[in-house]
Amino acid sequence: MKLKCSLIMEHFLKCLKDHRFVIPYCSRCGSPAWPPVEKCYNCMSKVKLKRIKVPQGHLIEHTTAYTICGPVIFGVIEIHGIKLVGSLHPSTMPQVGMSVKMVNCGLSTDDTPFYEFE
Amino acid sequence: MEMPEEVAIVASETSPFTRKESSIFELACNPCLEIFRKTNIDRTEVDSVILSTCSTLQYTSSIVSEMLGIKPKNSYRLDNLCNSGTSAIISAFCEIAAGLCDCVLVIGAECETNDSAKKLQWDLTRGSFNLPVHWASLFARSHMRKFGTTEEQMASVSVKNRRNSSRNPIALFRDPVTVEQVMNSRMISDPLKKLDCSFVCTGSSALLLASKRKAKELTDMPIWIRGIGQKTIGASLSQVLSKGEAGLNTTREAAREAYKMSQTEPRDIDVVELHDAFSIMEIMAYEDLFFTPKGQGGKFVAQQQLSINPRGGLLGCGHPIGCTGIAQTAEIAAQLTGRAGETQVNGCKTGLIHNMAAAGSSSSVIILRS
Repeated sequence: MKLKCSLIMEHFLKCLKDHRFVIPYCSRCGSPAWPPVEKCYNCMSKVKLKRIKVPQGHLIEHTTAYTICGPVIFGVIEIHGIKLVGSLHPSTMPQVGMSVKMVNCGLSTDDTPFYEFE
Repeated sequence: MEMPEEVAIVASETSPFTRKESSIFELACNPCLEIFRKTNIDRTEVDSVILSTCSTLQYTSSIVSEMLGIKPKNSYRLDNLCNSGTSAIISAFCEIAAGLCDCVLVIGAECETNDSAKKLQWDLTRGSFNLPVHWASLFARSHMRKFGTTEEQMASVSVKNRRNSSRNPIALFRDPVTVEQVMNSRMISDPLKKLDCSFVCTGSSALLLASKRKAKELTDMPIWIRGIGQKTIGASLSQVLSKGEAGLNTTREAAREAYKMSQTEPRDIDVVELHDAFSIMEIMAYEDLFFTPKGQGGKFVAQQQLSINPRGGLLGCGHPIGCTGIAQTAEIAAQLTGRAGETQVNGCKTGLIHNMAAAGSSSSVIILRS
């Protein structure tokens, strides 16, 4: 994925490439600004990226995709005010509403983001 | 909303859906040339050309206008992913209703190889699960969990639509399928199997819209646009998937608005083209278009007294993204004029078109009457 993007998006993607997950937050009202943008949608204040050491969220829905590498459990996770679709560790017994934590994130070889939870 | 200047569909054409690589320009011209041949309209009378496509080629609508020998006041391309076609029709409606134009040509064209139409690359939310089948399978799981909808009920949607498309000479898929075949087809993303999914293909379709005055000159069977509803809640998946939700909120809002504008109710609708990109989406649309109560969509497949997707829908006809909404509307216009050939539903007077994009982050509903 090639995104021509703002500085904050570039920074977000660079962090992702380094396997660090950061969440864009408004410096004034504290709202998450997702996808990352320079200014808050609500109050037009500056958005900053905040490092989340162990991002934790809860599972909204899940299922299994059948890829060329085999079945992969994935789901929608609500995490720090945003939602992400990511894979769940094969040992996970997924249940809607359960707590999950992000154990990896990054950019794949074609620059597509990925998020991994357990 | 008060109905302004009346707007009619006076002609419609759809070219066969295929898997062929083709020039977007030639694709776009084909149904228009057929409209010109059938209506004998003077091409100088076309005031506006709107081309619905996800192709990012430059200046496409003006190139198509030149190729067709039209010099319109206004010409532009419209991209709204799967919802492009109906958005283009509604834009044409607005141009006529506002008195800016008398006659607008709306064209939908898409080539199967246009990869930009197949996934929304902007949406970081989706991560590596960025194909439409991924969000559709999450919807399906929610619907099954919340309402007890079964995989067999979803398979029955594909069976119905493939049965309908077997009678449609321009559909991509002409072979009917059985529930067993759907259930045994390759699992893509649980519970959706290959035959629960529509196929992005090549296709083109066109409509000629006209003011009341112009419509009377061009046809003795105008089809009137009586209701329009639209809703957009964003673009990313984060806007649509919430805990415990298994519905299309934008479709519900668009449908309410269209029913209100047309002063109709769901029971007044005789024939429907709805957006069945995946079998589960048809089941959810039954509910969110208010044909059946929430949660009853699975059972409605077997119960329906309404003709839904008579041309075969997206599952049977194929899904040329930017063309789909135009082809859906062309089918309903043909149904209401009694010219739908082998797919004709007898005695229909009022029809509804439902289209949506990107996991239902935007939806359109149009109601037509003969």
